[in-house]
Amino acid sequence: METESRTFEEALERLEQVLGQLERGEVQLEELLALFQEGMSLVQYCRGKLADVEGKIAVLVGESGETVPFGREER
Amino acid sequence: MPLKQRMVSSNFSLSKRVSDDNGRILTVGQLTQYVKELFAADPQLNRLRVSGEISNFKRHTSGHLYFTLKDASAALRCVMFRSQNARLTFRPADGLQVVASGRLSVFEREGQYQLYVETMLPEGVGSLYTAFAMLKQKLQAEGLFAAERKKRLPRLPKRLGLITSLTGAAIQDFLTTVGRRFPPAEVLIVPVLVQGPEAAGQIAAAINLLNRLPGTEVIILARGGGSIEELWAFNEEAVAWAIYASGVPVVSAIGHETDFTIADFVADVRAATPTAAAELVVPDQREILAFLEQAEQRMRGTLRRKVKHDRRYLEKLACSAVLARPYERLEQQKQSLDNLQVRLEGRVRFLLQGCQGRLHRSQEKLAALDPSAVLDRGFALCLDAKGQIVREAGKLSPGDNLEICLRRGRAEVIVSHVNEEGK
Repeated sequence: METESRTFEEALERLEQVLGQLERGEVQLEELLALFQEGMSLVQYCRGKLADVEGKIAVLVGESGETVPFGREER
Repeated sequence: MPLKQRMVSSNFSLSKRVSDDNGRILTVGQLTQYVKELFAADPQLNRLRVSGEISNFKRHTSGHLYFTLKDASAALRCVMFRSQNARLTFRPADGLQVVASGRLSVFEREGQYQLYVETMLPEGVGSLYTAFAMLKQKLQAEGLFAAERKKRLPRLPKRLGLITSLTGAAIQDFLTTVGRRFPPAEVLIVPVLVQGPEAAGQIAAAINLLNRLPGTEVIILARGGGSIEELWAFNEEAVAWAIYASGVPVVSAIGHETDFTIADFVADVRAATPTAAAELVVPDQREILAFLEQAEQRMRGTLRRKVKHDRRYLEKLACSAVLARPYERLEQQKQSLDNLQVRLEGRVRFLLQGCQGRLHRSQEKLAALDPSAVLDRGFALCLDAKGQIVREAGKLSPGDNLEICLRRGRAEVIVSHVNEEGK
C-alpha cells in the first residue's frame, strides 16, 4: 500500500512493522534500504498528518452543519 | 395507633415489675435485655418501612453500611449488613431520600436502638429502577450490548463530535483534556439538553445528525454526575437505538465512575468520566511525536549497523589469502611437485643400487663356479662317450671310452679296470 493512501493509524501500524522487520536483522542490504526509506517516509507522513489537523472547536447550530466558534454561540 | 398503645402498655408492665420487685436494683444488662425482648416481641417493629434522608453514611471495611435516617423532627440509627447491601440497586449517599425496610432492635453494648435494614430503595425512584432493569434486560436480549458489534476507535480522529450541554463541568473537563493531549484536535459540539423530558429526543437526534454530516469520526456523549432521575435521558430507549444505529463509534461519558446507564452498555466504549473519554478519543501528541522520533533513530541506527557490519565482512573477504596472495597456492603446489620429484629420483636410485649389488654378487658366485678355475688348480674333468661328467666309478666298465679334460688340452682314454671302493 502506498504511504499516501493510508490512514494515520495504518501508517503507525506499518511503521511498527517496518521497525520490527528492520530490527530482527534478517533482511539483506537492498531490502533494508527499501524498508528504511519506507519507514522514513512513514515518519514524515505521520508528522505531516499531525501538523495537518487544524485545531478548532465549533458548536453546531443548524441541521445542515452550520457552526459558530465555541464561546460565541448564543446560549 | 396500635404501636403507641403497645409502647405505653409496655412501659406500664416495666414499672409494675420494677415496683413488684419492691425496689430491687437491675443491672444495665438486665434492663437492656428486657428492652430488647420488648422490641422483639412486637410484630410491627419487626416489619418496618421507614422513610427518611440518609446522613452520616459510612461504609465500613467489613462491608457493612452504617448511617442515620433523619427527618425534620428526629433521627434513627441504621445498619445494613454486607449480605443485604450487596443487593442494593443504587448507591446510598448522604442527602438521599430513601425508604428502608427492616426490623428495630437494640444494640446492647451501646444501649442504642437501631434499624437493621434489609432492603432499601430511593424514595420515589423505585419505579425508575424497575424501568431501568426491564429495559436493560430487553435491549440485552435484542443484542444491543453485544461485544462483537462494538467498533474500534480511530487512533487519530479527524473530528470529534461532542454531544453535551454547553453548561456544566462535563464540556469543560472534556475540552481541557483534549486541548492538553492533542492541541490540533477538531471538536464539533452539538448542544443538547442532558436532562428533562426533551433530553432523550435531542440526544438521539444529535447522534443521527452527526452520522449524516460528513467528517465526524467519533462521537462522545457526555454529562456530569447526577441522580438517577437526572441521568434518566441516557436510560431511554430512543438514545439506546440511536447509539446502536450509529455508524460512527460512540463513547459514553456519563456521570461518575459508578453510574451506569443504558447508553453506557450500548456505546462502543464506556468512559468513566468526560476526562477519561477525552483520554480515550485523542492520542497524546507528545507520545506520538516521541515515538516518531524514536522510530527515526532506531531505523538510522539499524541501517548504520548493517552497513558497518557488511563493510567489515567485505574487508575480511578482501583480506583473505586467496584474494590477497593469489600465487601462493600455485607456488605451494609447485613446491610439493618438486618434493615429489626428489623423492621419486631418490627411490629410483636406491632401487638401481640394489640391482647393481645383486648383479655383482652373482658375478662373483658365477666366477667361483667356473670349472676352468678348478682345472687351473690341477684337477681333471672326466666325460663319458655322451659328454656327461663321470662322478662314480661304479657306472664305468672296462673298455669304456672316456675323455679327460685338463687345464690345457684333452686326452682320450680307455678304462682298463674299475675299482668301486675309495676315492
